[in-house]
Amino acid sequence: MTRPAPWQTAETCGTRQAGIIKGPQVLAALLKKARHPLMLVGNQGSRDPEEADEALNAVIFLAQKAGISLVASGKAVLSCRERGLSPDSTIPATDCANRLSDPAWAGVDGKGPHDLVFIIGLPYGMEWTLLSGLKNGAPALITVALDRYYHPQASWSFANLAHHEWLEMISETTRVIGR
Amino acid sequence: MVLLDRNTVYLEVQEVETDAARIKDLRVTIGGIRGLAPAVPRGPMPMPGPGTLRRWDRKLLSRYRPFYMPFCELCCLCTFGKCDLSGGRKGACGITMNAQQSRIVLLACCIGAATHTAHAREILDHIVSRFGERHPLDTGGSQIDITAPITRLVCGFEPQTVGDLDRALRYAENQITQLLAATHTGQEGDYLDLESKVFHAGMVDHLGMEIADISQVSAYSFPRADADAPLVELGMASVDTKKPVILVVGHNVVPSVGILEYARENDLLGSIEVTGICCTSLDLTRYSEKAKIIGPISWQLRYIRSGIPSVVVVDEQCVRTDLPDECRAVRAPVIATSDKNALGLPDRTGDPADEIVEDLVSGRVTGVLLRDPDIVGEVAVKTANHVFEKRKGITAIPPGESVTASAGECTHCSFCQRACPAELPLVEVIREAGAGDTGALASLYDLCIGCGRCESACPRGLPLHSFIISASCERIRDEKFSIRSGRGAISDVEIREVGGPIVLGEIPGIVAFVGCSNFPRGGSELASMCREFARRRFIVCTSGCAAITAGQYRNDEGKTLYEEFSGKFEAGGVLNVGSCVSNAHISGAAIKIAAIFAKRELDGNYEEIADYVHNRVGAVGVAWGAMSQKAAAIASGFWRLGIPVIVGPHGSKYRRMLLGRADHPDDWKVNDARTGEEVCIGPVPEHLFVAAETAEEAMVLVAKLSMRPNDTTRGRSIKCTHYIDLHRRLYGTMPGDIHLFIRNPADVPLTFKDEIWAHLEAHGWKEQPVPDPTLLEPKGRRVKGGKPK
Repeated sequence: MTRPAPWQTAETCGTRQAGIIKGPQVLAALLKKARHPLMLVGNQGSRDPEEADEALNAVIFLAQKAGISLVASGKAVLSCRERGLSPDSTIPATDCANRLSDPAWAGVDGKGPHDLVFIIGLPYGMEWTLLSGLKNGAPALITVALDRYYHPQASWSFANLAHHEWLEMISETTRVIGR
Repeated sequence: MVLLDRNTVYLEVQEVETDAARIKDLRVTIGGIRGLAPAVPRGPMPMPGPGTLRRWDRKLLSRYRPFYMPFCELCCLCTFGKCDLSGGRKGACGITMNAQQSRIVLLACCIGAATHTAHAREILDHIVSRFGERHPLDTGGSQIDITAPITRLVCGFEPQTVGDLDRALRYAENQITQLLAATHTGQEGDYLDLESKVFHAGMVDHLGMEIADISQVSAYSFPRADADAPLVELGMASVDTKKPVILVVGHNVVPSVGILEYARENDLLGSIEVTGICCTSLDLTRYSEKAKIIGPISWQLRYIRSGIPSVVVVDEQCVRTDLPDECRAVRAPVIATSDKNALGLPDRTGDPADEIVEDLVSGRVTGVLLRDPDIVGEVAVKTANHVFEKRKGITAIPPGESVTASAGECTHCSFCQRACPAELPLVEVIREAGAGDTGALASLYDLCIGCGRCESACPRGLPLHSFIISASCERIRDEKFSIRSGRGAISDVEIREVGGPIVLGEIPGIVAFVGCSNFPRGGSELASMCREFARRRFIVCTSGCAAITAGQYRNDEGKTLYEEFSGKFEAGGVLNVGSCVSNAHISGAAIKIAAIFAKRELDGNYEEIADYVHNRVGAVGVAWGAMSQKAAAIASGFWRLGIPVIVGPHGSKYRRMLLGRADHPDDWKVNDARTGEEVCIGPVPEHLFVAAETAEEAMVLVAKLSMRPNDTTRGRSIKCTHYIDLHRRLYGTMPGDIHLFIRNPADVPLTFKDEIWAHLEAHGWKEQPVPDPTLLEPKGRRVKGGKPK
């Protein structure tokens, strides 16, 4: 299968591109294997307020079900708190990515380094560059671009899905890990 | 002391006694001009080379380590390549990914510094030829003693005439060449040494900017440290379209001055409109209140396509490279004026003006290159007058009904949306427009950065940017604002008045909104940030396109920021210093606080002054829409002074951040100059270069990054109050790291006392001393009398 093009035109990377998340089993397997996952949630899930709302509900539910530590960047902390979830940290996304590239970082909750990070809701270009920083600066870290757009710099990414397809994928993942 | 450079010999003898004579303070200059001040560079580090300040740079870089985010993982600069540097691989020359990224950052900063410095060279040479090299420098009359703080700090001598600046400029040109050489294959390979050179490029950039601005301020009688610089008109609706209209675009004001001079000499000022976009317009309104500013660089397409400009004159920097095509589409003759930006146009500099005008008016040529500003003035004015009637009614903006019809042809392929840097929802709004509702299209007017990538991506060739403009015609009819003309330098008197409150922390900070208009969500966020911090009694400085954008929004009473707040360098002031090159006055103000308020030696004393600024002056730069290499160079000049810079989310594409680690206590030690002991001071300022995702995040960061080790307890309490208040309002919570900024009980803001104490106890907080902070060895401070401040 050929890889999809990056969502934003020309944002291609080097010789290694993200694997495609074809089904909820991929995410569930990554979560099962991870010792200390982290989710970094940005403010811009979607330009469409309704879609953004649904997206945030879905990923927060996933984070809660899977017991994933949470960093809310920008003003996403407000959205998280409205949904009854207090993030472990509100540091800027760039600061979070920098710390993730340090294998000795104690993590947002002080429980040790993270080995898996989900990133969602940052502006595309910013998420792209942060993922590139992690790809090159934290080679042991598995990165998952959780947005519906293809992010070649991640370890794993969705392949430019429609919102409803993406929502179904996240919801199904939550169901799978909850079994 | 004997000093030689290519053109000049300087000889200085402090004291010599022989049998024949006793000589004291003898100074001889051969081949150069100098006034009363010594031309011989003074200070511990005058005219530093690329490696001279390496020790200082390493101190900063050991605290603010680079975090690289490769924008490209390949190197394609030589014929070994492409080399894949990902996954820890090295290039054929041995270069690593980190070094390659810092090398590209250095290249970007060299481009930026070269651009400002070349700009300075053009201006200086023109001014020297026009006004003579003995023309005195005057940036504020009796209000200013330190006319050229950056020149003195970097070069170690005090220029008094425009001719004196030549030596500093030659130094800058030399340094940029050295730095550029360092990026060659097989040169510098260590990423920290490359980063040190990035800082050097930034320092040189600020020197180039200072030379450019103080030259033009002195020669053209721009406002001189004038807090009451006139309010001038801004916006497309400010233009009288019943008159021929000239548009000037770019950064170099010299050709535009030629236009105004010609119009004035021929009594035509009242019968034409001279309008501008970007920094040329800012500088033109400093020259004459009759000129009008249209908008920041993102206004190029919308204004030219409107058909309003009869003639378009371009100079240099940030000008759209397809501008001749755009002008051709609306039959507006274009005049290029710079060797650096000839746009493929025929050079007609030596031809008679009337012949050139005739060719432009008849359409025999669509544009010309004119390298003489006086000819530019004559040709532009005459051509505008001649084509005005012929061009009436010409526009490239389609009427509303045409937009609806064309939008109906859209196949919703989403290529436009995927090409849009601002990620605007173009597919949906075009769909709605096709169905007859252009309201959603109009809602994008404020968010669109005017790059035109959507149109370039559209397989059907739909002029999507023009659709947005067409749908926004009502909004444009109301686009008329006031902006205070660029005031130039900060006066020594102002520095004396606020130096103490700034250094002690009682004025919570100086925040400078600078840079381009590549905003993530339109310009309103920038204006809101300016207003927020002015109301919080920060000193708010603006420059360049950020200054223009800040003037495009009104408060509830209908006032722009420049009408609402004073233009003085004081708590709650909003100062437009001027164009891009006027940024030197912002860094210059920080330097002058050290020199005037604290009486630190200025000349050639970079390390000590930077140490002072970093530890004591709570200044923060915000380049919310930074786009260019010049913006990168400007930021790096602030970094070397230890001043943090925040960029918007697009700024992450500069591919590296300089981030502190608040969770590493050992990173935050300084020497206490009083005791000589090493003391922990907490993460202040926490970062040197950081991209914020949202305006809310940027505002919280500004409050946090304004803290300095030297803050008094009262000052720290005030700064913590702003930090906590913004965090609570925008994030809904108390900052989780507030314990890192409270040094002793007196730092605790009374308003949040109980909550903070509970937090401190939960985090095992311990009291810390408030030192007299320095990153240098405490001994060896050079203070002119009295105790260190």
